[in-house]
Amino acid sequence: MKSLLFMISLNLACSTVEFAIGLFTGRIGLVSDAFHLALGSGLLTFSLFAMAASQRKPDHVYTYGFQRLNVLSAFTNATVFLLFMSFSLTVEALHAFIEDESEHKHYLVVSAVTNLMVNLNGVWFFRNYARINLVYKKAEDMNYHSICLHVVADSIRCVGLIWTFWLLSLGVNNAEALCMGLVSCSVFMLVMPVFKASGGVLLQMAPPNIPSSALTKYWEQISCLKDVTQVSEARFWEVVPGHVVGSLLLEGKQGMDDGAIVEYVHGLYGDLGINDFTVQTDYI
Amino acid sequence: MILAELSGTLAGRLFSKEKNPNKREGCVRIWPMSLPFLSGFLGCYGKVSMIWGSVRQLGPKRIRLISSFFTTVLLFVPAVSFYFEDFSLSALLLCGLLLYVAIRELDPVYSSYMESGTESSESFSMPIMKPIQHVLSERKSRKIALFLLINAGYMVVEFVSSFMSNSLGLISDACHMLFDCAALPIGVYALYISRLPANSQFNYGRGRFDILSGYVNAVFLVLVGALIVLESFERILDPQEISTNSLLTVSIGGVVVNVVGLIFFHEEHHHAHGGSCSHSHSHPDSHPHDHHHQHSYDHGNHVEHHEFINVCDGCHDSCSSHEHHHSNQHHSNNYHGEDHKKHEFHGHHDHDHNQAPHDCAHHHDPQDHGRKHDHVHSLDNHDCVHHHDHHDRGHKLAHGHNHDLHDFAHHHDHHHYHHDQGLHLHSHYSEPKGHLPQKHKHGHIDHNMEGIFLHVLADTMGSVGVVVSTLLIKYEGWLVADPACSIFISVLIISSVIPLLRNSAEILLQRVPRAQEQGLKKAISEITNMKGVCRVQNLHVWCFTDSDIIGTVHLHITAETDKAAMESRVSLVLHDAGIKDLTLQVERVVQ
Repeated sequence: MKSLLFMISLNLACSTVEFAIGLFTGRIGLVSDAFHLALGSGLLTFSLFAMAASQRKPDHVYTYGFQRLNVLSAFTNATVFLLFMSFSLTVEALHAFIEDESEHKHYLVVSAVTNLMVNLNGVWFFRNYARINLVYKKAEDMNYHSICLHVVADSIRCVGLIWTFWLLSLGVNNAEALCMGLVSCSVFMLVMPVFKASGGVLLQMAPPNIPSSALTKYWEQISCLKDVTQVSEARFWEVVPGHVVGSLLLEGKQGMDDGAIVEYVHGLYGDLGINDFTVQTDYI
Repeated sequence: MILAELSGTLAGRLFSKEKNPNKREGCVRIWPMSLPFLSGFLGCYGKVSMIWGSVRQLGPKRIRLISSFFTTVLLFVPAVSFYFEDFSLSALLLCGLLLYVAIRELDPVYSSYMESGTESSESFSMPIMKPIQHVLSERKSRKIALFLLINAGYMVVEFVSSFMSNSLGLISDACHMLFDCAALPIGVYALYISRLPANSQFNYGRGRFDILSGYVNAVFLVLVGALIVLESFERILDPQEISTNSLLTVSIGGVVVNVVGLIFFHEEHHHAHGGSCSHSHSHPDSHPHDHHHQHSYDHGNHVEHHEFINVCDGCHDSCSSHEHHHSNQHHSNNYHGEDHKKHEFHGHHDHDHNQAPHDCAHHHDPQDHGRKHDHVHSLDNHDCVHHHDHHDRGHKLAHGHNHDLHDFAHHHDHHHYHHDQGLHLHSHYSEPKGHLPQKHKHGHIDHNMEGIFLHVLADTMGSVGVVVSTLLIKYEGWLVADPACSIFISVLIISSVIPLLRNSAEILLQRVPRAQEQGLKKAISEITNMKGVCRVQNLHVWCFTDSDIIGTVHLHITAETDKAAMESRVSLVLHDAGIKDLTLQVERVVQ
């Protein structure tokens, strides 16, 4: 968390410096770059807030606790990057292409390089999470993963910018459109897995790490118990990756020993790792 | 909007540089290039259940490899063609189509979704036809589709005329409409998706797509607003030349179309209350079935309501909230275009709590304080009175309506057990005594429709802002008016989006729904005080969608109590508190 705080402050410092320089020298490109940096650090601040707030204990309104904030912030990061960065980079590429002139002035190289340094620093902090597909064991995993991808995507964008300038100096005409197009595509494909994983958790999808065959097997096992006539409404979902919640409805004949059956069911699903389980037993 | 701004700047620069021969091609290039990405995003949002029989045999991983290869290759095709001044439009469109297909294939969630439980279809057009059929089958969604067509039509007209006249303003307005046209199908498709039944992958169904799309829309709008503010700052520092010749006519045309859209949604919303007194609605049919759909469309414009919904929260016991509501309403009504000024109270749909016989339950009409169970909507000066009876616990519905103008059966069958997108959720209480209509679940915003509505609203405000700033520039010469108006409008947009953002985030975070908090506390204390109950444990209550409230609880009772009776009593209490989907585990403990 401290590393994230450090990164955010570094970003903000760079952005204010750029803004000041841009104002004094009258170069609008620097000002807009500063704003983009500020926007990025705003997003990172949200992730920081999510990290901090998710430590709180569950209370009577947030009955499952605040761990889901991690997932939400990962999803927001991913959406912003997917929707926004790829799209806006494409628009910028279009812009440059149509104008037949690069919008990025040459003095922006310096800012691109500094930005790249800052971002690489960030990647180093989160190097454990620098992968595209990650298995999430805890809630914070998702958040850290998304932050790392944020920083990686930003550095890819800086690399793209630098490459653009280099190509432009070489005389390649539509370098900007090409590079930005490539950057936006790669960012898109980079962020997709996090987007889908966090989206899946938020959409109350069945936990992906528990195979449905196991659940079907248990269903049948429970149906075969003595006096149980019907098992229905078996639903499972994840609060955060690693914390699975389930519920079940059992119907049985009178005289069913529900205490023992409930214990048995709890034990079964506990083997799968589902500790938060509720079984409703009804007599017909 | 950013596209509009950027294209605006770029076209402006083009003008100033007098690159006349290039202009035509420049304008032509915007549209087709944005099309692939539009379709790509549509594909991402739309979960298409399409299975290509022959391609499937290759296996998903291979498909992904091939499609990613295609993506990269196809990106180079336009890049290469850029080197030639005259490239073919058709090549780009083809590229866009292939990109869309590739991105769809790239998506394992969707491919696995395809495999699990949805009907497989070999034909390519099936996944497009099914939602279209679904959309056309409901009257309300047909109207939305109609508005979408109108919008798209006007957009095409604008694009064509902008190419012919090379006007900056027209281009940017056309891009505005493009964005609108993008948001609408996404929303409609999300609606379609959320109706699909539950399966092994989505145990509770797919209702959450609505909320998620509303959240994404809200995030997107916030970011767009922030970006526009930033660009306006830049513009202030570095003022640009703006040609205002045809801008005025175009932006007024744009405002008209957007207001038509607002009216559409407003109409829907009126229908929900059955009282569109000022509009002449000629919709005499009654919908016994389409309620949920209606409701989902109806409350598109609940953005402002949300504000006082939260204010309403505290108004249980005090009638002084009357003032609240009116002031809130007026404030929020400013957001609406000119048309909406007359609908002063249209913000209040039944989102008042009627716990006990409070007169203030109906904050709508100062003269007409409905009594317990009546929610009186007075729209304009009419008393279109809706009487919703909230008595029927058994059927979960039975809202009687006295609509003079309409005989909709809307409000009947409000509660569908599963897919009630429903906005008016009057939760049924069996009143412990007499006829007290109980809590009203308010805060039922159809997030999806609200997101769409906010898009349309933002566009309207943008057009209005353009008109205002154009007038200012033309007659006063204040170049600073343009960015100033943009800043003001984006601040308005952001502040209107924040309630949606907060509400959908709360649902996504599994929070106890605000409307039910108090009732739940009372129910729990009631249960704990029951004879035979030792403890209530592990109570988790959360919203699946705005209207589905799900709860799980463990109940510990003493050894002597009758389990079945206790179970039924407790579930009765909890049902009355609003939890429709309850899983109750009862355990005997020895003290």
